[in-house]
Amino acid sequence: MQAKTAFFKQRSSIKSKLLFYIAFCISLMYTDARFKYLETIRTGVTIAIHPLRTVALIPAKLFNDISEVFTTTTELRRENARLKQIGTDSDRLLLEQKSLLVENENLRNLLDLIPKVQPSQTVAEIIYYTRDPFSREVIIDRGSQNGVVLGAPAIDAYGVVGQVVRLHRWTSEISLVTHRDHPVPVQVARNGLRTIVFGVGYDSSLEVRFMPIDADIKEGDTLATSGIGGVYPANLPVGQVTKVDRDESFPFARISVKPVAKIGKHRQVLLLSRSSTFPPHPEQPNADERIRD
Amino acid sequence: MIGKIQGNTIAESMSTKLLIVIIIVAFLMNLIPLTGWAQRVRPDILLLVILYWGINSPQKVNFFVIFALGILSDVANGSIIGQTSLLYLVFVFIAVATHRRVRLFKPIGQMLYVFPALFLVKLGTLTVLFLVGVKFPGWSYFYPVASTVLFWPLLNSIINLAVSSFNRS
Repeated sequence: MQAKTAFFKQRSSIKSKLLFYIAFCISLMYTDARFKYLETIRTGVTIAIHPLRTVALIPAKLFNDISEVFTTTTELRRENARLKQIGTDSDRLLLEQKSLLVENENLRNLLDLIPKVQPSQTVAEIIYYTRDPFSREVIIDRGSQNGVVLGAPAIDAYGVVGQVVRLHRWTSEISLVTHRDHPVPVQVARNGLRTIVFGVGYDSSLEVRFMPIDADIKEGDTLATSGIGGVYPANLPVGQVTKVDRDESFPFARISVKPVAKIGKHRQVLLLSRSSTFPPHPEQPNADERIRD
Repeated sequence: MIGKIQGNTIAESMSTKLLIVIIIVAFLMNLIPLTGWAQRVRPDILLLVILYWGINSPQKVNFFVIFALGILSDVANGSIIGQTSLLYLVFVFIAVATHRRVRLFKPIGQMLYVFPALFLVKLGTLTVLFLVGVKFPGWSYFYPVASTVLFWPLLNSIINLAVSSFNRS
């Protein structure tokens, strides 16, 4: 009988507690979704759970190590041959690029333009894909301690992967180009047409919005970063146009783009420093707001 | 009647120390990185541990701890802070409120309670997310509901085993 009364007593207090916590949670969600006051809490908590994260990575590391042990010699040989091939190819390209760089430098000097800075680079390993279906974000093992800066673009061997949106001490979060509404300023490589490509929320596709029906853009066009805005350096490949739907009942063409970076298939990314040497744009929202909106 | 025996003898003598260990292990399991479809359908182990806690020792349920666990999960997942806390709290409240009835069933039968409860709570959380201005992420938001519920009998017996061996030693 005593247990029963205790039970009812607790139950009434539990209800008011629940209401209090629900209200608190909802206000936290509202604050986090609309404003950015919770970023310091986020950073603090991230540091606090860093040791747990390290422990949780052990199974994945073990799995990788074990599967490496069981890699056969044939596979290694095949990979070796492939890498050699890539090596020779890129040597040739590098030579070409070096001469082009010198030529470009000379031309820029002749025309009296500001020289472009070579962005510095950091290799980072992806340690997590977040399990939240709302976000296409990955967490990497480099943070402010390793010289990562907020807004730094991340690339892989094929193209643009994303951008650092949250910076912690030992880790940082990259919003992938496929993250819903993640914008990247691009140019069509064929004709220099400037536009912006947006993520739609799943890995296989991006879209170009607000292009008029008669815009000169067609299937197979390569989109590369334009360098405008100063976040992404110019001429990094972003995607390839897969479908252009010019339905005249809509004001804009619907343009689907396939990202060229191996989104969701890599372990390492290359972080570039922000290449902004331009004077700040008047009344431009800062980089973080642009990422959020 | 097995369920009843479990509820009255083993679980109510669950020690706080063991509970802390189980919670830490569950949190770690949630942190283990997976990729691809495995990531999308992974069960929420921590949620099941909280469910076990709510059903089997409702007197000991501590809302602040559950709230904090939700916040930690949200930060770890890079999601909007508060959504997992909301989910866990409402879910544990349902568990506590119905624990007497639910305890009468075996774990397989309990799944019939857990599934609609979890689905509705997730739906509620999604509604709040809409209200604060987040766009619909696609149906993958609901995939973990099924996998989490399917995991319940296994997890239930694992924790029972842990509790009984802890009490014996």
